Amino acid sequence: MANSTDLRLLLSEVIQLEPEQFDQARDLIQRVTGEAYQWQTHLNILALIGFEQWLTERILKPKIHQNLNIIEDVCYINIGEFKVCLIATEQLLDEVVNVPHNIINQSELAAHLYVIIEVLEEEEQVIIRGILRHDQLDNYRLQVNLQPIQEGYYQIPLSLFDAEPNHLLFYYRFLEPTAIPLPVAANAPSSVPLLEYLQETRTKLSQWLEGVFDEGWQAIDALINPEVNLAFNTRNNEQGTKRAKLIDLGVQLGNLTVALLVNITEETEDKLGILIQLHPTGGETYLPPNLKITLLSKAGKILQEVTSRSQDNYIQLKPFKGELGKYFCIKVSWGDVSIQECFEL
Amino acid sequence: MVVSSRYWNIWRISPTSERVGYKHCLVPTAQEFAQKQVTDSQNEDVQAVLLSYFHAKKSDVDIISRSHAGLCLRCYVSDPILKACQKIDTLFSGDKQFTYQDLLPFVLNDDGQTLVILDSDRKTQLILNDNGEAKTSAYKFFSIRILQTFKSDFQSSMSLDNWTYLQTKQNPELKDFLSEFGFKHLSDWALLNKARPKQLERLSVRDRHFVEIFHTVYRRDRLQQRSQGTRKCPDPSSDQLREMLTYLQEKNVLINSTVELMKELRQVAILLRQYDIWSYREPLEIQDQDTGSYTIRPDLPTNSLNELDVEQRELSELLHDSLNLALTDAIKQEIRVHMTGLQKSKKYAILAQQFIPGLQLYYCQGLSLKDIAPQLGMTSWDQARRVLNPGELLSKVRTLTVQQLLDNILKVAEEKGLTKLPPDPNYLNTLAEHIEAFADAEIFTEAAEEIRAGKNRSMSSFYAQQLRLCLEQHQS
Repeated sequence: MANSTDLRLLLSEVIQLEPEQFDQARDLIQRVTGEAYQWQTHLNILALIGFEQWLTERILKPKIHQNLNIIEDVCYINIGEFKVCLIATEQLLDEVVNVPHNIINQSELAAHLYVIIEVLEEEEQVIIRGILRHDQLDNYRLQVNLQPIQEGYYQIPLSLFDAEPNHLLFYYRFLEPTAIPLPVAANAPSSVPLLEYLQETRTKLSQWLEGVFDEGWQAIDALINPEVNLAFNTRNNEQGTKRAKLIDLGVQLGNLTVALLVNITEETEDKLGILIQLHPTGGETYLPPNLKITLLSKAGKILQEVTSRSQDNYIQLKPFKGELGKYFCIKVSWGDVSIQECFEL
Repeated sequence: MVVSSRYWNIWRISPTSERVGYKHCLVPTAQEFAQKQVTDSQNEDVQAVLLSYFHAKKSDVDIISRSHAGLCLRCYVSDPILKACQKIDTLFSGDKQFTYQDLLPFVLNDDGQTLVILDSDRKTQLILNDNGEAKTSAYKFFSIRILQTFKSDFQSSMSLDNWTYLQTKQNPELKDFLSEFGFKHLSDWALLNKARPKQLERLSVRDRHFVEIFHTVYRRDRLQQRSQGTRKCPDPSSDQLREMLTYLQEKNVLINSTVELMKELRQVAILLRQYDIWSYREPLEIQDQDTGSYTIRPDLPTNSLNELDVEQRELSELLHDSLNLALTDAIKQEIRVHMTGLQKSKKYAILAQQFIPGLQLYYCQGLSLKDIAPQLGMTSWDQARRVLNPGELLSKVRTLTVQQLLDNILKVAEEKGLTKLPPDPNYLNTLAEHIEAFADAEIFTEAAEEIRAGKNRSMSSFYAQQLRLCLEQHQS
């Protein structure tokens, strides 16, 4: 039997834009700030205008509400009670969609439906490439234990998205929005996937002070021979609570395993001091060169970066402080391989 | 055991096939082999049986059986080969200068007749002559190349469908063609504009600087240009080039003149015309974390729809009964809506009365939009497309038809206790897919192929017939 999306290989959902709509886009851009993201904003707005036109031609008197200025990467449109997140891109030849992880996880940014829209600026066309419900995206994320690849983005195969945009119309016509559960704000009772996500990916450092450690975080001695790594007993990490985790940087590169050391000290009642180091394991004296350790903000912004040289016993980030409840991530990368660990203070 | 008919039907190029340039052909030899040899086998996995026959040692299986098993597998892979070409076509999008039909000769070159086996190391294709002797041949079937390289015995290997998809996308001749024609419709500047961080990773650091600085200056000004009605991306102005030079200096890239910078930018654009730069990551399958095995991508052919099996026949009958009525209703409504839309449009109101005659020229005379434009006093192909847009009309009619059927079926399904209303999202989705598959097979695939067929097409689909009837009613 034919697959129902086969027809979309012959008949893409193309929306022609008119020059007036480009004027409209320009006026809207002026209302949205953020210099660096203007081009992306431009694309978002063209996607939004095209998508809105598509909806109005297919739904009788839709109740549409645009929502432009939440986040630079994407934009939102409400159809009735359904919140729809539009992800605009200029091409999809590699069949990969970059999705900022906070538009899935954060209650205020999560949407019932995600729509991939290709914007052909010069040709004045937008094409609806695929749609995905939040629950489908969330299932996939848990199923493959999806991790953000770079700076807070998930890379999701285009094929995961439903190539039949009409299904969005049918969801709107036949479903209640509550049929597609969304993550709720942190204080309210959470749905299971969100809780799992938090537990899965974020290490709570303040708990360490009470002696509670997540699996995978071990006492230092178990991982590193302190006689070889004298640096461990010196300088600024002699007090406080420290734990280390083994980071395996990939199979192709001969199983390079390093230890990520996190040392926390209680600075004031609601502030922690953090020291992050990277050490060799397995009796090695030196780290391999060009190993990089990066401190990222919650939004994925690079705050600090250190790279190992030819004979480094270890590398470390400048010690930093943070208030309880704040998030940060540490990325360890070597060549193309990288692994990210996220923390909550 | 039931064997899928995919193992004895092959997609072949057929220049004479009036509509699309390829056709589905029955291969009796393959059918006989699959039904006799494979059905007798105890093994449930048809493909595994065929592969073991095809790759069997000389001493174990005779040459003819090996070649017949190969023929079945060649039939099987012809389907994902065709799909891959269609997929590449849609991914390129826009007003590009090729269609998937242009890609087919590179990869769909199997005649479905010649008997072929592989030598013992799987490196060489050997053709069987009339005496049953295996000879090497200069002509290589791409389908056999796929089977040569497919490793089914690896535990986490891909499915044959996905392996075929990957191999088709990687076919060297096809890639060369795409590098030459894929971006031909785009100016260097549109291409540079389009490049995203992923593409830049494939360039040298120096070239990356060029693109980044081009983006900073050109994209910013592009937003302004648009408001002056400039559609095509023009050459960068000398002011823009001078500004880029300054920024490049800050990055320690020294270029002496704007002329030299233009050369460098065009050089980068040449690199960007390489298809590889845009397509190098291939997420083909989704890994199942529990089992470690890969599951087939949902856009590749699978056999699904078990959920509806029980009541399926009853629902199918209902679908059949309501399809034609839903179709004509949808055509009438969408023509009316489109007319009203044109009449209300400031820009196109004067052309609204040309809509029906235009569609008649398209669907009765088989004229192209380019030929229709001057006959109706339109200025360009682009304008004719915006006013008539037969593809969009078809797409909207399909939406409305499926929606109407969905309305009917959901009501019946609720009465029979198959679902509650509102339904579960997954149930709704499965039902919609089922109805779409049915309506597409009956009506819309043929209608869409017809639009894509190009020159010398005849508009003979059921959709075209119904549309012509509605157009006549509109005129009288």
